[in-house]
Amino acid sequence: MYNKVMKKKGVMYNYIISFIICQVLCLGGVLVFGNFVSAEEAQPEIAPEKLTIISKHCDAIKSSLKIVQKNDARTRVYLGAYYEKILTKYITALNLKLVESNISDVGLIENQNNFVKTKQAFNDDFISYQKGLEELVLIDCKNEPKKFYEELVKVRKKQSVMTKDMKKLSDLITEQKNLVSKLKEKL
Amino acid sequence: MKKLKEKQASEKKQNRGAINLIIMGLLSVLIAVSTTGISLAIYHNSGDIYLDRSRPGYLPDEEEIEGDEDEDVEEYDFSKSGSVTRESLDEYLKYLSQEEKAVNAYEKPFDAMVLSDEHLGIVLSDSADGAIKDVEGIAE
Repeated sequence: MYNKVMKKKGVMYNYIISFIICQVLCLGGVLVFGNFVSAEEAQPEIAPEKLTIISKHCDAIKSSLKIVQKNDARTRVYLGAYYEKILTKYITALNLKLVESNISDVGLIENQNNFVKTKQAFNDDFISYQKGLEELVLIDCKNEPKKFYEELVKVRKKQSVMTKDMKKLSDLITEQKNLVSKLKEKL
Repeated sequence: MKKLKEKQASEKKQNRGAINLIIMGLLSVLIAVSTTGISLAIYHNSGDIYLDRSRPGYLPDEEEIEGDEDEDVEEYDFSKSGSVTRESLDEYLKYLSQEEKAVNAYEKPFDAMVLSDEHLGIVLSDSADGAIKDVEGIAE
């Protein structure tokens, strides 16, 4: 009787373990292979001669793109460090001190919020841009030059978004200086 | 006879124990491998890998770091104690301007030229071959 009970418990134990493993593997599969489908924009016509060039010089083009990938990653590290420093040591630090000193300045708080949002957007857009570059480099441009060029056009758009984010952050830093100058006049 | 049967039964139990131990070991390895794989996939898919500043090959080597030490921004800590005065704000603005200068000094960040057709060599020319720019030129 005891053996029967233990055998049933053992079987149940195995079932539970197998179920958990299946759930983990399914979740993993969704995360690893899950791709979201989105509508694609209409692509401009590409000259056939360009496709021939891409196909012929695929390796050289890919080498150039890998260098761009590496340089842009370093750019993000460099600029990201400065933006983080400006946010924590300057913008946030000043606002905290103003709160302690019972000085209210709505403009500075709003500027801080905008800076945080734009900095996050800078990070998110960079991830999207780098993902695009990585996918671009993985395309076989010898055999699929059209697909490669279409993807290149998309990556260029993502890169232009990075430039816009940087411009916004630069404007916010200038705004911070203007607001602090105005605050200084009030003291 | 009875003792022999008991002995055989206990040997079977031991063997079953050993088999269960092996199964448990294999299951543990399988779970560890799958959870590690899932973690790496999440790390990659979430984009954190692109923000990882410690990623090998994506940070400049010591010999590649160029720069005049005089241009380094002085370390500045906005004083957390004391009141806000005109002098403290003047100092704040001075150092903030230095940080801004350092940001703006970075040469052509995310330059659109590097992904242009001309730079990648995808140009229509009179000759049969397209002109391929020197790959090293892009690294400069």
